[in-house]
Amino acid sequence: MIRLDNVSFAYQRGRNELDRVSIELPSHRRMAILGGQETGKTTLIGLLAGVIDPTGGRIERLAHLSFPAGYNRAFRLANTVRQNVIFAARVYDADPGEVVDFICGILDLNDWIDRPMRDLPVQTRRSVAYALTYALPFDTYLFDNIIGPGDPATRDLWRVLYEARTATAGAVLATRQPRVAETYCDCALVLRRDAHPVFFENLREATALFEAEAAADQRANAVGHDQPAVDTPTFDEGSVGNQALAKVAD
Amino acid sequence: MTQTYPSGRMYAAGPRRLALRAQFNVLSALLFREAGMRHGQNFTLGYLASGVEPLVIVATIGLLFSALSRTPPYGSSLMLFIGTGVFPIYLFIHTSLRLRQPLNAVAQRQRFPIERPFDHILVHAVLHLLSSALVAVLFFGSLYLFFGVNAAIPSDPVTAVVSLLVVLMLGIATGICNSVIARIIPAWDLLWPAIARASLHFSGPYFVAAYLPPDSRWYFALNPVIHGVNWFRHAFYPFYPNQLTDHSYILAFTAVLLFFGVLLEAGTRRYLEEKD
Repeated sequence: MIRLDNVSFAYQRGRNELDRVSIELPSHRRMAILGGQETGKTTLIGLLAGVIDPTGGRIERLAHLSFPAGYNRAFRLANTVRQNVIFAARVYDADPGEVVDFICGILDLNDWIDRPMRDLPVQTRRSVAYALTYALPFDTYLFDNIIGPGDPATRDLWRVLYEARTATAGAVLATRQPRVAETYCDCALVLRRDAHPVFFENLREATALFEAEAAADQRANAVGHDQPAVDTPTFDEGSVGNQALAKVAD
Repeated sequence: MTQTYPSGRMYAAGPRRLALRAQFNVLSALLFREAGMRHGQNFTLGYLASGVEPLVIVATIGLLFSALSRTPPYGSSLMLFIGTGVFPIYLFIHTSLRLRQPLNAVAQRQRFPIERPFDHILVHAVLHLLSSALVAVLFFGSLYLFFGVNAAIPSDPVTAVVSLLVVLMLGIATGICNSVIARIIPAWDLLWPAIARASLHFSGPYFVAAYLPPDSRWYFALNPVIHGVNWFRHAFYPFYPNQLTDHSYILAFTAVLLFFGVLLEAGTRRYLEEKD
């Protein structure tokens, strides 16, 4: 259970990303946060994780929430991969040896593990950050847009890990693609611009509201800027869920 | 309220009862990592390296006084007198300098959300205390062992420890204030090290504060560090003149500064986040 009590957040004064949100969210289910552009998905994930502090109100977390998946700002680049992983494991109350073994087991890191973090290719560094997220024990894993870096070699790995972890723990996945939500989640929170977020037990109802909202938005944009409405992108059935693996350029 | 999670863990009234354990994990992990780092670079014994500076100052002042063939201002050993002044002063200077780092804007972004700024402040303060204590013990111990200065073993060890803790608290309070001031006025990062090091000479490392001329003495007494130095010297010299030692002054100064620093940090947090 995560209780948001009158939570507001503004990057700039007078322009609230979230405005006095009071809602109770499940922490032990797979929940999608559905919302269009600039509705505060990333902000909400950051607030839940504690990476940013709310401007007003308070968040009560009755579960261990993870940092946003793939969080790599806390790595010390001068330290080796092993030192960084051990530090994270200690801080989050996990057995350091187990965590190192887990990461070495799923990524082919053997010659990198004892090298300084700054020597690693950026792609590998991101993979380590995601593997670390899955390696640590949390009650709820927070994902912002993607569940793993979209590297073709490891594409299936992240999907398998996601399924394995969410079998016993909760997840919150922020996305603006209903297909992704359907593939990875069971319930959803719909964020809307200038309106309160709504929680849905049923994903179909959430998707319906989200799509109606998106269509209304597009119509408003088309009228406002006198531009033709952009076609909604179509996905082919075979790659359902792949959108969650690569960051989509906004 | 009790809730069971699929992972089998149970929380009564939320995970708060695990908070102490989480706190311990963070502090111990940080302590071992930060002990080997300096400015984000790997540097074994990084904290001990800062102990070299007081040793150099003690040596230079000692050399100068020997060259001028002055007698020690108090007691029989020149090195001991200078050492008892320089070590507490440098504990203050280094703490007030180093504690700016945990609160700076870039460092705050490079952390796991579970690490809070005051965890870092606590860990850096403890590391400073340990490293300065180690260097001080080595210095006074070698004075006793190799130079035969019997007074180098404090006759009142409790006073020595208490006075150093008070000076450390003063350094922490100053460091917190500095970290906020430096984020509002970035030039403070350049000014404060100069001010702090210059203040060394006004804190009485090589003179007895109580022997100063009466009309200028009270200006010196406004500096809280000089009271800490006098307090520390009482541990070594039982009959050290105490006309200018006011324990309540340094304690009150520390408490006010600490309160003000924490208030300033909390009050400007929003403003600084928007500014950066």
